[in-house]
Amino acid sequence: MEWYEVGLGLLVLLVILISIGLPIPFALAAASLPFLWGIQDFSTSLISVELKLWGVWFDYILLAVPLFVLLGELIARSNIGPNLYAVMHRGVPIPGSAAYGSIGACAGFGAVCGSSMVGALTIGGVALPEMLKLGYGKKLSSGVLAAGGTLSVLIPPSLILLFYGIVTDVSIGELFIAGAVPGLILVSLFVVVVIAWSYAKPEDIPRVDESGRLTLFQILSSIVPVIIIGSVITVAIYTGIATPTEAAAIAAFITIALAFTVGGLTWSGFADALKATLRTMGYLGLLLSAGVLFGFVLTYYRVPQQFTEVFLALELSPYMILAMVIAFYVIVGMFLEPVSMTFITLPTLYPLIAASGYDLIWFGVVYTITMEIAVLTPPVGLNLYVIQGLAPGQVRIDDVVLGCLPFIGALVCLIGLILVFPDLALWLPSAMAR
Amino acid sequence: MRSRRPAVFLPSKLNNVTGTIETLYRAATRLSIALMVMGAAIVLVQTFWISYGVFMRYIMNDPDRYVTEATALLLVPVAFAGLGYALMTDAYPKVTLLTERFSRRKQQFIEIINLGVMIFVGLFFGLSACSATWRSFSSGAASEVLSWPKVYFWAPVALALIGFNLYAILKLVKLLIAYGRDRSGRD
Repeated sequence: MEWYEVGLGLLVLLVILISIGLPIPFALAAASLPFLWGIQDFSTSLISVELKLWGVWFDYILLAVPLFVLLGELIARSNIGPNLYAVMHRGVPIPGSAAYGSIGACAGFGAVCGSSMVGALTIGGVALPEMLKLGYGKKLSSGVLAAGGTLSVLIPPSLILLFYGIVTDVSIGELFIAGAVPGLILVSLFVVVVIAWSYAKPEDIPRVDESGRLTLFQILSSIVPVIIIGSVITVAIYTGIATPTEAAAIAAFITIALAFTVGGLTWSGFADALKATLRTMGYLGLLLSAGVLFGFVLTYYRVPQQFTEVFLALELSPYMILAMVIAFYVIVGMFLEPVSMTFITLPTLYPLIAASGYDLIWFGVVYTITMEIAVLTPPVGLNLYVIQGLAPGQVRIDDVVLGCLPFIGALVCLIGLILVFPDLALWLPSAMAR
Repeated sequence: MRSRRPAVFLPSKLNNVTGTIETLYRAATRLSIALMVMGAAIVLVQTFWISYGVFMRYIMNDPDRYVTEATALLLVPVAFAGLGYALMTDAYPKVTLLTERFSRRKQQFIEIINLGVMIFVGLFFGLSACSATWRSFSSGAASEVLSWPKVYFWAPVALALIGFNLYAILKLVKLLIAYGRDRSGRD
């Protein structure tokens, strides 16, 4: 079979299987198996899968996945996130403090959690009812929280960057560190959006926030856990004291201690966090295993290499290729969630990006930002539905979608900034390497 | 949770079959939960062991030589321990934009087809894991540094995939019965 027949065959099968609602890990495997049996007989394919499963899962780096998932779930079930939000806005004598507080809390939460949906759910669960009660506009309240959740996947630790590193074989530590500066710039851009909103639609932001200031103990007990957990991850990786896996384990260990002592975590919450971790691992386990099969079939027929050669033969400028790749991800991101998209598309596209001369760490940051746009764009924008689901009677899905638009604009601006100033993403990793 | 009594209009033999299926379904559910608990316990062990390893390396200046390989080996069962539980809690990501437009009956039919494909994939991975378990048991294959037998890590994977397939097959049988009952009710 020719490479383009295999590529097209896989694509058509995948589209059909995903369209009929087959869960994505199974669709990925089911699309790959007929082509695998075209390469090997059945008994050889069993052994081949055995070797591939062992090869992919007997991996210390990959161990960071369940540990970071556990970390996020523990934080989500403790009061650490809600307390952080309270500190960020209560008694702050600035109009719009709850909106700025939401951004700050999402950023702080992002420093300890790597999942966008968990970020939106945790901070949104407390902030959305409070913002609506205080009189903030529905579009602003829902938009800032849906977008704020995306900070979790850019500010380290980030599950998307982790999976990107696994697929592209790029240093996960460097990827995490590369996301830090763009993450902070994104926080500033989101603040600018809220300031602009307050001028454009002043009726959406109440003038006075009369809630009382928290006590010093409450402030410290809310901020210190986030600083400790966030610092353990970032400093340990940046200084090379620990690998991302070790940083994840230590952070999870400290989170268990802090969540029980100052975070109000109950035993039932702890059990729920463990259950949620295994639930996520259930689908990630199969997704990654199916992704390996898919990757094997693609590589056997040299689909990524041939695809790259065809594109390079067109002699398109690197900017044109990047624009096409980003546009592709924005469109596909409307229908697929980011983790599945990473395992389905990235093995074919990243060789093209590398061959076009882009740094794969730099592209990792750009890729993550496009994934953030993906979770904010309908019809399959996960964060949109998470936020709408938090106040179904008060906020409509179109409120959330419209509310997100200015924040999507900020994400596009960030891509532009990183394109013009690549060092925004590359300076910290290069300093770390020195 | 007690099983629902089968519908009265069914012949007694079919009532017995549905009763047996319910019993097996509950057993498969318990197996999926037990495997999830095992996986959760392993994740906790990994968390504490790796933290201990870092502590020993930097504070006690006496690195733990087991931690890296041991915790990596333990990841193999963790990756599959939640398979059945994820199916139970409908945690697998899917795109339902198209199927939501179908009638309820067509949705049921599509669900049956999808579950059939999931079982097909699950059986393939399950066969591979069972073959790996048997081969590592008979060959005595072991890990490189610690020489821990690989069968210890393949066996839970095989069990997790058997549990997943058992649960999925019983779910499919229940769906087929409901589908058939629905059709006979309409007739």
